[in-house]
Amino acid sequence: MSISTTALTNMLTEQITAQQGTIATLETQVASGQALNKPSDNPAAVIQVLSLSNGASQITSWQNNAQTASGWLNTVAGTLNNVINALQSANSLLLQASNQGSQDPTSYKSIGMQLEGIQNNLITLANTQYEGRSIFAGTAATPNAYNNSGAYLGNNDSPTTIVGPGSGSGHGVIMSLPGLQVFGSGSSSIFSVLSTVSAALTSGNPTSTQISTAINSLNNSFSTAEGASSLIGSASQEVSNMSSSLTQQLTAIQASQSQLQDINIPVATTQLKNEMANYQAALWAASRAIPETLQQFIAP
Amino acid sequence: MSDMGLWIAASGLNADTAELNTASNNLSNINTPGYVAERVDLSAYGASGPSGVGQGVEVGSVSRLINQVYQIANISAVGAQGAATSTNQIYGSIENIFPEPSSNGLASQLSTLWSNISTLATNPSEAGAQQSVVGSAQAVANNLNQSYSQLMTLQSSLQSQIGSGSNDGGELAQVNSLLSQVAKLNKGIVVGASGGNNVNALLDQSNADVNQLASLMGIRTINEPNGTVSVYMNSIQLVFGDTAQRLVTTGSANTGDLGITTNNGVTVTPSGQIGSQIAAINNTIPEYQQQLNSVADALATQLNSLQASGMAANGDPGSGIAGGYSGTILPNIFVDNGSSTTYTASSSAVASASTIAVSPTLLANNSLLATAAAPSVTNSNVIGTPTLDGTNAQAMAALQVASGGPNELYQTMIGQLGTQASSAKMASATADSLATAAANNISQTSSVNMNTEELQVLAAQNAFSALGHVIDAINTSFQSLIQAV
Repeated sequence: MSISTTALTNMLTEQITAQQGTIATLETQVASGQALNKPSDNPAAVIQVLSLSNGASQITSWQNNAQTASGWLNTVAGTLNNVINALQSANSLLLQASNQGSQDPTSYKSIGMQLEGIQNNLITLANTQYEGRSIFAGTAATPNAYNNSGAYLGNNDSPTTIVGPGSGSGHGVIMSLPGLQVFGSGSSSIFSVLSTVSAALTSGNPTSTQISTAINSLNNSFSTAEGASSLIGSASQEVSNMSSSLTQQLTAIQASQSQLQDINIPVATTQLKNEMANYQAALWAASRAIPETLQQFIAP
Repeated sequence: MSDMGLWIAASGLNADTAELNTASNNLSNINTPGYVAERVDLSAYGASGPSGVGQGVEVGSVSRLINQVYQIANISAVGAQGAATSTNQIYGSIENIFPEPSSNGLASQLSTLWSNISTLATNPSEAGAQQSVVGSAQAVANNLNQSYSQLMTLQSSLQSQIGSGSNDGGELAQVNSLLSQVAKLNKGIVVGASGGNNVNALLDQSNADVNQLASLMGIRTINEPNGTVSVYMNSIQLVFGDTAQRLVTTGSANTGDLGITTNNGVTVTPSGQIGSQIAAINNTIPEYQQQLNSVADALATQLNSLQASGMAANGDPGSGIAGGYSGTILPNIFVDNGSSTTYTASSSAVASASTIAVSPTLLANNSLLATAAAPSVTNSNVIGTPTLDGTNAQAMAALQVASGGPNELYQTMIGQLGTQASSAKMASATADSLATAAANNISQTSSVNMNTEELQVLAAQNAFSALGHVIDAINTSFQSLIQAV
């Protein structure tokens, strides 16, 4: 049995080609930093990476939503704070009016005018906007939640956003509350109460019933606003909890993604170096073995 | 003493010349595909006289060093290699059409679409957010169109590689020319052998042709007693003696029924390179096109159905809830093509992925996206009244991870592609090493070894000069005898 010269050449060529293939793969990996450059590189890992990327993209969307939601909620909370302060001022003005033993029309008038100012201030607060949207108008497409006389222009749907996994479209949170749930509705709305009582005071001779009714109504408004504020506070808490859990999930996903997808640079470069050395050895062997025949020794 | 010695020496010189010529021929053909090394068959002439001196050497035929078992094993290994190499290449081309995982792939473009819809859900009336959604929907549709058309291009380029069998430079034309070549060589072998000629070169040529045929379409051969070779595919005889069948294609890539028949209309089922290409044209590529259609269908029908049952930020209703609404009714998001208003799911007649497009009406007016839910007891939406409700857009964004959604279908498809491509790669490596082993087996008996030939040359050269001495010696003896006389 003998090995033909052609067979020797073929075998060496096959080996060299195989090594070139390995080197090309390793070079692609080192250059791209990725172990997965096409589906067949590791089919199971590629499916996992696609599914992880999809999950990561959804979590990023939720994170963006959470950020938007927390911007809304902060604005709403700040505005509600101002609303509550305004209500407190209104309350103390009314108490002042009811405690006044001597019925001085001028001082009633002055209190009435201050209350009117508070009313206007409250309407401005109720029309606060965030990113171009009126925060207390619900989901209605209206630039202002209230008109100048305090009539509600919005609807009774809370704007929501999705900040995590859940049934239906996902875990929804409210970004704000409709004006009716903050300022009350109809004759018991803050604006209606304040405009009634301020009109009575400005006339100079309000009845004590008018003032005490207003104080009672205002107390109700006060607790409505406080209730809204606490709802917003808990939504805010929920968003921030979700947000930090999303960050954790995203980090975990990115870690597994990187484990599947990224090459270990020291390992890959060492491997590449090894393969290069092997390749050179094979080339050397080929350069020696192929021309090395009897002919060299016979020929003078 | 007679001059017999001279004749004996002359027969030796003859034999050495024949050996030198054969070695020279072997070395000349060292790199010729299919060449089988040759040896001169020598035998000694028996002694005729009472003295018992032999009569020199007889040059018999020049025989080929061939082992038929190895040849037949090689033909089947070469056929398997042809198929595996080609399958691997085809899967490589399909993989190039789907660059995953990367930021250019469909998976990542779908993600962009979902995240844009999610952003739109919190700002339903914002023109920029609407534009992003429509733009990314268009990118997804374009990607589906392009991937589908690249698969079609691959299919038709494979078909043109095979050719029709007529003189179009295709593989089947090559097969036909090889088949008729083998038949011609068979004829030459019979004629040559009957005339007592050396037909080794014809046998080598025929051997090389048969190997090429094996690689192209996986054949089986039978060596007939008269030296000719018969070529079969499965049980159908393609070459017998000096007659060869001609092969032609039937059907087409478009109808997924590309096939091959003989000129007598008998269907043959090739393996080898052509077999793997036909399988890709008829089965593998259509299968991926079908899966791509399913992705397009899932995307379009799921989004369109939400679009139909919701209303836009400007109050325009989707077609499912419009009732007798007199204003604008929302268009589908995805439609059959750039001039259509409806979407038709894929079927044997419809390749949805190849034409899916974003509705031209929506392209012209990006605000016609159903971001808000239909009016119901749980909301205050009213058809025709603008609303900033984003719950319908939220439902659209949730399709990102929906079971049976476009992402899931696409992931399954890529997983299948990866698995099939990687097993094709392994099969190709295995077939390569089997073919190398088979080739090495043959070369152990049949190929030219340079060292062996060098030794043959040396031996013949030495014998030649020794015989020269013999002739010289006989000559000198005669001379001295003549002078003495």
